[in-house]
Amino acid sequence: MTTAAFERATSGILSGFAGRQAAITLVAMAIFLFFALFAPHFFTVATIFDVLRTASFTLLIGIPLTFLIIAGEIDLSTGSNYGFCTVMTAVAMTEWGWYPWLAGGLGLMLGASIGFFNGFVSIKGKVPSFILTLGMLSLLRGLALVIARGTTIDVTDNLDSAFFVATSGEIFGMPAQILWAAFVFAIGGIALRYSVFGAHVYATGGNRQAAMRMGVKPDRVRLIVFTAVGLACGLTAVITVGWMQAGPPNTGAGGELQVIAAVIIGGVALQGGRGTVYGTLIGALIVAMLQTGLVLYGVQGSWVQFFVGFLIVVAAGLELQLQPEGPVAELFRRHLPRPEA
Amino acid sequence: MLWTSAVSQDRSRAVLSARGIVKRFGHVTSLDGVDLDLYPGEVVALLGDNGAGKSTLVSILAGVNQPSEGEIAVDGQPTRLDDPHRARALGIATVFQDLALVEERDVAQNLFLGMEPRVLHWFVDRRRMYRESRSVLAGLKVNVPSVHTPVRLLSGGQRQAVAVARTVIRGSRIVIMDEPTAALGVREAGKVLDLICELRASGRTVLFISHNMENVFAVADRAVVLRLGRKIADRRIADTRKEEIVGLVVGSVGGQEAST
Repeated sequence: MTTAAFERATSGILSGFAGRQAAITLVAMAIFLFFALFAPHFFTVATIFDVLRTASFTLLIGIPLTFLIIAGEIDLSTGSNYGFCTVMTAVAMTEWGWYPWLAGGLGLMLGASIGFFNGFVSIKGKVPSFILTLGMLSLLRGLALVIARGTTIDVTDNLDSAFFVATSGEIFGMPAQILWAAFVFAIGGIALRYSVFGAHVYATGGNRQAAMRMGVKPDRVRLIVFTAVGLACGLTAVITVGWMQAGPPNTGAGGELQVIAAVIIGGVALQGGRGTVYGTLIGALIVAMLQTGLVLYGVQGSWVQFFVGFLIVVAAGLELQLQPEGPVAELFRRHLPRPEA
Repeated sequence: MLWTSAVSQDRSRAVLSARGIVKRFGHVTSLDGVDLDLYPGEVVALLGDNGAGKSTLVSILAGVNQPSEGEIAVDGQPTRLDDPHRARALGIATVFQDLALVEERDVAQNLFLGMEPRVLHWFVDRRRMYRESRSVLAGLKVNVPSVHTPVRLLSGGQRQAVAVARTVIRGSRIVIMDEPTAALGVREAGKVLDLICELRASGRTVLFISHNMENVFAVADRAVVLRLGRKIADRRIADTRKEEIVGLVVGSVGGQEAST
């Protein structure tokens, strides 16, 4: 074998074994196998749909958030935006008597507007998005609680509207929430990997200065992605209202951390420029499996948070080791047989 | 020969011609009436001590800064390089020391950053992008492991090559390089010098800042020396020696072409 051929072969092996994607997929499979074997009732259709539904709500926001973090920004207010839009959609349906579709449109509009606001202020006002959205996290939750007067708003009218089929029904035996998430996943995955916009998202987070000099418009890219994250919060809220037929003001509380956890476990770098939509899917599945599986395994509820946090710590700690030129890849290189010189 | 002497050449053939360039920053005069002509297919080294005005001159030609006085003509047409986009549109490409590469993206993605070939309007024509990347790199005789390699895994010389190849893709006729070999080892620097020769062979003009006399005498056709904002020498490499250029740079040899 020639040296060049050998290096091609080993680099193939290395990217196969040491790649971030492969590693996280193996972890997800191991977790699934563990719960399937040892957690009672985990390996049943009902539980698996439950896990998928939980992962779906994470993904709906997690996919656009993947774009945003790759672009070098963050939105900590997604849970609160989601909660606020949930309350507003429910209020529009019940107290204002709007048609469900119209109320749903309001939810989407509000979510997108809040996302746009986050983007506009942090880009034009040069406010770090971390601080701005930390403020919005508290502000929007407070607003949701005030508007709902602290209690859940029940949606009881108009239940025969097709709106409730689109948000909580089943199509070919698949719950609508999962289909919505699959839709967002497909669009997001294709856009990030194959579109010109996706390339510009990576460039914006990877080296904003360089991107700008090469004619990319990083401000425009970031504003679009901020708005998409907000729109996703609105969409998730509308689906939640249709599914639960209620608007609890604490909807999505703490959800921002769960979404960020899925994105980080999936291999998106917080400093921007790196990550995939596929990774976020696996991250969301891992978080959802832990949440359901650990309870079924008999672990006390509070430990679930511990394990999700533990996985983030491990993922962050291993990140550098798993890079193609990192120690793990180096180990492979050293212990694979060398070609005769 | 085509690029024998600056002085003897017909000025109307110059691809870029700068006349009486003055740049003041407040009370500091950074450039004080500099003339510079660049001809097709020549390599010009821009030399000078720190503060001589090299970087200021380059930033003006790149469209980053505007001259306080003076005129610039491209292809004989008087023009204003109001911003980097304007300069690029006229075929003047500048490779700054930071190279402006996106580390996590691969070679082809960096080459076509901001001008990706498209299919179906929204999507990157990946096949065409990788194919054209290979052919541009091959045309410049640049060796990279693969056009799919992330830039962060490339050596300093390879990065420089990617940054230069990118200007070729963007239709550069004049490539300005700011100390292209400064951070490189001997072998790597040699590859960058080869690349400069390839650019010249393709009919492009190269203007590069350097402190390294070996490099200057290895590839340049002409050396332009600045001192305290004035051009003090414009020599054909064939007609001068390293000692003279070094002397002009450090000030131990007096310039004969004090600015008009």
